[in-house]
Amino acid sequence: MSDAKSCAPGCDRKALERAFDIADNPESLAKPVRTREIVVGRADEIPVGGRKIVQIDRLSIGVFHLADGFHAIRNYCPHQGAELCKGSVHATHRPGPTGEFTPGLEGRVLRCPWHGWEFDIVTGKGLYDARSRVSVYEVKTNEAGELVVLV
Amino acid sequence: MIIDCDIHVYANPELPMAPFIPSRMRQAVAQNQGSAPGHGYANPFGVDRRDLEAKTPADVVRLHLDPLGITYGVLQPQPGYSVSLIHAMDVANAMAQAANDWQIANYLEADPRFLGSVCVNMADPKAAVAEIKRAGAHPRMVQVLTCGESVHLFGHRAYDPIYEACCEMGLPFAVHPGTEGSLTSSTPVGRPSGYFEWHNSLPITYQAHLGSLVAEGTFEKFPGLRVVLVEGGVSWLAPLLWRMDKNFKALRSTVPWLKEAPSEYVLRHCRLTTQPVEEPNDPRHLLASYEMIHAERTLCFSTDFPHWDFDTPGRAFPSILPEKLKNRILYDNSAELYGLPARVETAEEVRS
Repeated sequence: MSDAKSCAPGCDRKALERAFDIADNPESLAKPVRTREIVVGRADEIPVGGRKIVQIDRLSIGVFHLADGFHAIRNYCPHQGAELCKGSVHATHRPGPTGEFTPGLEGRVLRCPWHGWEFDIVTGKGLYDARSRVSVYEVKTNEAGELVVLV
Repeated sequence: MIIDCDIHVYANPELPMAPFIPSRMRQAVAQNQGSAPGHGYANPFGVDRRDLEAKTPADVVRLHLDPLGITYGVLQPQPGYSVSLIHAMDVANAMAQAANDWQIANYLEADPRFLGSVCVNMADPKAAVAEIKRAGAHPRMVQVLTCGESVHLFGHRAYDPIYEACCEMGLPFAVHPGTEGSLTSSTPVGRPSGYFEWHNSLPITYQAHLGSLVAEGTFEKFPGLRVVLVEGGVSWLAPLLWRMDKNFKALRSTVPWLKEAPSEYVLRHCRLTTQPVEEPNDPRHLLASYEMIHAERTLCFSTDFPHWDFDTPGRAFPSILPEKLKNRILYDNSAELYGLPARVETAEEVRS
């Protein structure tokens, strides 16, 4: 469990709601200042729904082409270190009243290939507790049609 | 050094079980007389890890034994461990035999690290005894295996011949969950509505079986019997022991064949496998639960490879788990249980 600091002190109601609040307003998330620009490939090599896992020095990052553009997330699950970006991408159900299923975050939920924990690709937040998170990185497309990740 | 008490291996088109079904029974099995009832609780996201696919012994070696440094791995074949639920007795017995010969031919012959489980049909104790003596004679068949779902609680005397055979052959009796709800409800008070709820409830079955084995005096009747509770959780055990020991003081006269506190029987005869390691937010709580059940002699490491809720030796336990206890769990307890060579001290670190 690697002392599970990522989840401590527990998946409470507020932390869960916050994960979805942030998912709905990704702009509200404070972005760390990252200035190093790394070209990781061409934009047209990753179709919508596709992904590419790239290595930048010791950092492994998954670049995902979602419906709204490119997003990058660290290829490391905070639970036990699995290669998160090799997981499936799908939708989830939003927290809601008993008996109600509200599909949400279509096409942007990454499920770890090991134990199935869910993360929002856009925000990096664990969709069970906002305090559990994976680093996300800004992706830009330059004039040459290349994908640039800021690390 | 690491012993993994729970590695799932599957029959598949590349490694079919059909050739191992006795020829006279192949048609009956093919006619689907052998289908076990389902429990109706499938993991909607699949029961296997999605980052790998292990179809052959070579796959399991390459993807699991080698990278994790597993010294020995005990197989839990599928189909096989749940043949007890097949309604047609002859088909169930044939499937048990096939699962055992399939393991021997494909896995035990392939790599000395693989250890097999003798699958038995608990519903036909006479046939189960014969199979334990037949397949259990293989030197690397290390235990008898069945599933948690059962017609009777395991302390029922109908199973005594099976336990007698286990003792005679020197094989522990292991139980693996995953089929609860196939015959009756997986809880005593109604059916869970989904996989999440069903999976959470699995320790209930083990508590019931364990209470039965103790109360019926199975361990008095078979002093050499050892029981392995695979993948059923750990932290529930201590409160059950306390409850049994407390009740024993007032109700001993109702179970006069018990000569010592129930916890003594359990700690002496029973072993639990670790996976899925419970993950309390404060890792000290896990350590406390290990202390309460004398984990230094009762806990055996397991991964449940390649299932979704598997554990890896390097990451499953909190870092505060003392090294000595970790080594007992990772290797020594299982080595003593299965009669495997004692630990050889190595400088090698546990790999994740």
